[in-house]
Order: sequence, then structure tokens, then C-alpha cells
Amino acid sequence: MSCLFRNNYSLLLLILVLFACKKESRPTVITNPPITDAKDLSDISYNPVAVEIPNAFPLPVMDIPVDNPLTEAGVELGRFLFYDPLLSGNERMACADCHLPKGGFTDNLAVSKGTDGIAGLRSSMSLINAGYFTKGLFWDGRIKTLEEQALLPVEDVIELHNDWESVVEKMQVHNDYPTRFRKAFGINTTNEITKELAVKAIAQFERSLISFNSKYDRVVRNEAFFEEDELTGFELFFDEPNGLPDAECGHCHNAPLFTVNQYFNNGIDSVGSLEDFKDKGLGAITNNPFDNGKFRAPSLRNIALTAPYMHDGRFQTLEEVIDHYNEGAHFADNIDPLIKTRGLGLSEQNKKELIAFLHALTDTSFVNNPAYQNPFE
Amino acid sequence: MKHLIKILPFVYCLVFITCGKQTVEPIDTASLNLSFRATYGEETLVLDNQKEYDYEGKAVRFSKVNFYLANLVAINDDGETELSEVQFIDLTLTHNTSTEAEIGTVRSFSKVPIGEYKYFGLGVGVPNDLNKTNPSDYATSHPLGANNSSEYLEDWNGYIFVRIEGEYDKDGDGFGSNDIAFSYQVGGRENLYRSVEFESTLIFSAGETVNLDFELDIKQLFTRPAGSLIRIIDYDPTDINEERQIIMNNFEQGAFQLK
Repeated sequence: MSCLFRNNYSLLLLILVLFACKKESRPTVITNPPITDAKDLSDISYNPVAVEIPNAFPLPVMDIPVDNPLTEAGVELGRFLFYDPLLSGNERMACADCHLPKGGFTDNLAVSKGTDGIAGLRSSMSLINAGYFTKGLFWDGRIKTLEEQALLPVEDVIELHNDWESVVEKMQVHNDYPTRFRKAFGINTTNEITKELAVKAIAQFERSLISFNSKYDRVVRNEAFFEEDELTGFELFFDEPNGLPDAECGHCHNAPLFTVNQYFNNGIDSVGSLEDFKDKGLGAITNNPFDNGKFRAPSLRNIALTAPYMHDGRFQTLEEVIDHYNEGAHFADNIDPLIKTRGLGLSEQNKKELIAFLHALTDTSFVNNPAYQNPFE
Repeated sequence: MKHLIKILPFVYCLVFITCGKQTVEPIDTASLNLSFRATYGEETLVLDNQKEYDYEGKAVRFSKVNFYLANLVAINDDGETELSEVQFIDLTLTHNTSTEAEIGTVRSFSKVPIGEYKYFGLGVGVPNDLNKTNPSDYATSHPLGANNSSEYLEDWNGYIFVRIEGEYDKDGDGFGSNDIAFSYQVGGRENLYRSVEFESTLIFSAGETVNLDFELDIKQLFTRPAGSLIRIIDYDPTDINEERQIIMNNFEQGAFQLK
């Protein structure tokens, strides 16, 4: 081997070969125009450690994008960005303000307020198990990936009311973020910090938000037993053939995610025609009138923590939600056939049992997990 | 410089040898496109409740049609070549307009072994071994995974093989809350799985693409052996067992055709 490098030409040869082949395998780094003098980061160690997604049975295997694998440094950077008000125009609000762990990663408001105190149109969606939501995000499904999703709130005038250029500039001269970006993504200079890398980190953190230790999960894993009312609630929820009414919940909120990642008109609005929906939901995205008034069926995991309910927070309690379905939904041309306009026929006792089961979907070990909390506190 | 010129050919050779392997690949396989279209009798099926069809004098419209296909194989005298273990065909995504419906839902397969085949075979539904699994056993985007968990019923411990949804104008006075929003969910049990073979000479040549067009006639699917249409009732999973058998039998008996 030593003779291979005996003269400079051999070395040149090796460099040429390596250079010629390496182009294809190098990740594309989108570089912002240098806003400040770039600072060299190459002295900081870059040893990415992969985060293993836990065996989270009964949750399925998560599909991780090949261009954004989870690393310890990436998830941690994402957590910092998620909780950092630096992302908002007036530096008063972070992503986490609408997605608090104690609220099941919602803000427990009917409609969320942005950094300027202006109310939006819809309720914040829970981020629990968001890594499994691969059929569109937001209530109307307008975005496909968590990376794309994380780009939007920063520049939304009602939400964080900022622009990415400003955020990137602040991150590049920050006393901590350049090191974190280096450790997460192996960048060599501060001007390689981009919004694309920032949202990749936030998406990594969001994919780490995995809830699989509710009582339901432990029962499925044969680690616990339901109480009698919870068991009956389970049977009502999944239409088990036991002589009780079918609550039909599982069609749209099926296990293991307790959402089927689809969009439905669940009959909460009384409209004369499909054009009359005040908030058209999915229809505003697809421009298909049949999609008007359809919204994402949210996951019911930790649902007891995420009140109020529906896309506009119109129902304050789980009891109100169940009353809506039990009393009969409003007919529309696109109402889902499994939403009964004639009601479900649940008794008061049935409703209590159903709610007992819904409480069995609460995972306190998830919401209290230190890895998900605010790193600035 | 003289030495550099001497080694340049060697450099070129090395570059091509080390990098060329990634791009040059002998083509000894073919590609296959399967397209699935639905009709209602002679009419193109348009979903999203947009088009009304005659149902023995009353109006019916459809909002959703999806089904599982399994064990897709090409068959010749030497045996079977498996193309796919399971596919979820959701016509709802491609039948929102007449134009879209003409194209249908397409599934593409590359690297199909070359050869000549006499039959194309598939199963309608989820075969028993897979039907014992559930969405937790798969990656989210797998056809049987959580993205399609709406097609798994806990109380059946199995998958919905075929789903057809829509509305039926029971009283004949236009669609409204007094009519029937139906959801025919068929499956869950081994005896509802149907294997179908289509006789067709299929020649898979290297680098070529073969297109197979399948058509599903929903009206024929809903037709009893005696010729009348099955009743349409509100969703009740325990009350449509006879209709389920008829629907699945019709997959074997001409409602599902290779054109």
C-alpha cells in the first residue's frame, strides 16, 4: 500500500477517482446567500447517532423519509426550534405555543391565536404520532409531509408572522444553533444553515412524538385489563357483536392509530347544499365540491387531553361529541354513509362506557416524557 | 507533465470502471401496467355521488369503490410468476370525473421476468394468511397498513375485501335525509375470497411494457343470478350476508373482466 502513494501522480489518480464518483452520493445542500461572514464549523465534531424508533406495538412501523433519517442531534435540534420563539416575527411565540405536551400537543383552544394575538380559523391539531400521518396534514390535508408542513406557520401572518430569511439570519449568528446544525447535519459553515434543514430537524422531533403506552396499548399487549365499563366502551367503539348498539367510531378512528388518515363530512353542519359550508375544508384544497365540509379524522389517542373538539372547537367535552353522533348528524350530499342521520341509539350508560374507553387512550407517560418538554425551562 | 499524460488513459479507465457499474444494467425484464376502470352497465362510473344511475326504476349514486387484489400472477406451463402479493385498488381516487374514470387506476410493475404466459391470475380480497394479520403488522404505507386501516374491522378480525358506498333514493323524490346512505363492506372471511384467472396470451419481452385493462361493472356486481338487483339497505354488517356472497360470486362470473 505504501508504494501506491510513492509519487504525487498516484495520489492525484486516487483523488481524481474519488472525486469523479463522489458527486452522486453527496447530499444536496441548499445554501442561502451569505448574510453575514460565514463562520467555519468544521472543527466541531460530527458523529450522527441514529435514533431507533422503538418497537411501539401496537403501532405500525413508521415510514421515515430516506433524506431525513432521525438522529439524536437532529431530534434535539428540532426540539429546540419547536420551543423557540425566535421563529416568530416578534419573538413571542413558538410552535409549541399551539402544541403543548400537557394538552396532548394542542393548545386546548377552540381556535388558535397567533403571535400577534389574532385568532385563526381552526383548532390546533395534535401532533401525537404525527410521523404516521402520511395522507396529508392539517385539517384539510393540504400538505403531504411534516417537512413541508413546518415551513408554513413561520410565514403565516396569523400564526408566527415572520419570514424564513429573517429566521435563518438569526440562526446563523446565534450562539448555540450553528453548533447544533453542525452536529445534526454536518454542515461546514454557518451560511449552510437553511430553512430546509430547520424544518427537517423539526420534522425529526415530531416523528419522535410516539405515544403507545395508554391503557388500551397495555391491554393489547396483555399487560393490563380493562375495567368493565372500559371493556363495554371498547365493544361499542368497535361494533363488537354483543347485542349493544354500534357506535361506529372505529370506521374513522380505527386502531392502531385511532385515525384512518382520511377526510370525512361527519355531519356537524346543517347546509342546504355543498356550496354552503362556511369552512370548505378539504374541498378548498381539491376544488371538488364533494369534498366540501370534509375534515381529517383526528387521532383519538390522548383525546381526553385535547378538548375542545372538531376543527373549530365547537364541542367543549367528549360528552357533547358523543351527543352529536348519538342524536343524529345533519344530512348532506357528501355525508359519510357510516355517520347516522338517525342517531346511534346509545343509552346514557352506553355513553359513559364509551367515554371510559376514550379515557383509556390517554398516555400520561407520553405527555410527561422529559424528551418532549421545553428545553429552555 | 509528461508523466501525467502517460497516466491519463489509465485514469479514464479507472473512472469508467469504478463508476460505470452503477449505470449500465442489462435489460432482461419487462414492465407491466394494470389499469382498473369501473362502469355501471354501459355507462362510465363516476363517483362522489355526482351521477345518478337507474336502479330498477329508482336512482342510485356512488361515492366510493375500493377493493383488495392479491396473488397477482402470470401463468404458463412452467408455473406461476408472482407479480404482487397484495394491492389496494381505490377507484375513488380516479373516478371523480368521466375523463378521469376513462383512465382509471393504474398499477405499474417493473422487473417482470420476460417470457410468454397464457393466463393472468389474481385473487379478489385478502387471502387467509394475510387476513389473519392487522395494520399493526405493516409499515404505515403498506396496502394492509395503517394508511388503509379503514379497511380493517376489529370485530371481524379481518380486512374489508370490497367496499362500495353510495346513496339510494328509496322514496323516489330526490336524495335527502330519508333515503339510504349505504356502505356495502364485503370480506373478513375466507369463504368470500375469490380467485380469478383471465385467459390471455401475454408476451413479456425485454424492455417492453405490457398493458392490461380491467373493467369492473358495478351493476353486474349487484345482480342476482336470477337477473334482479340486490336490495340496498342501510349499513348493517350482520344483515347483508346473502348480498356479500352475490357480490363476490359476481367477481368470478363476468362482472370483473380483462378487456
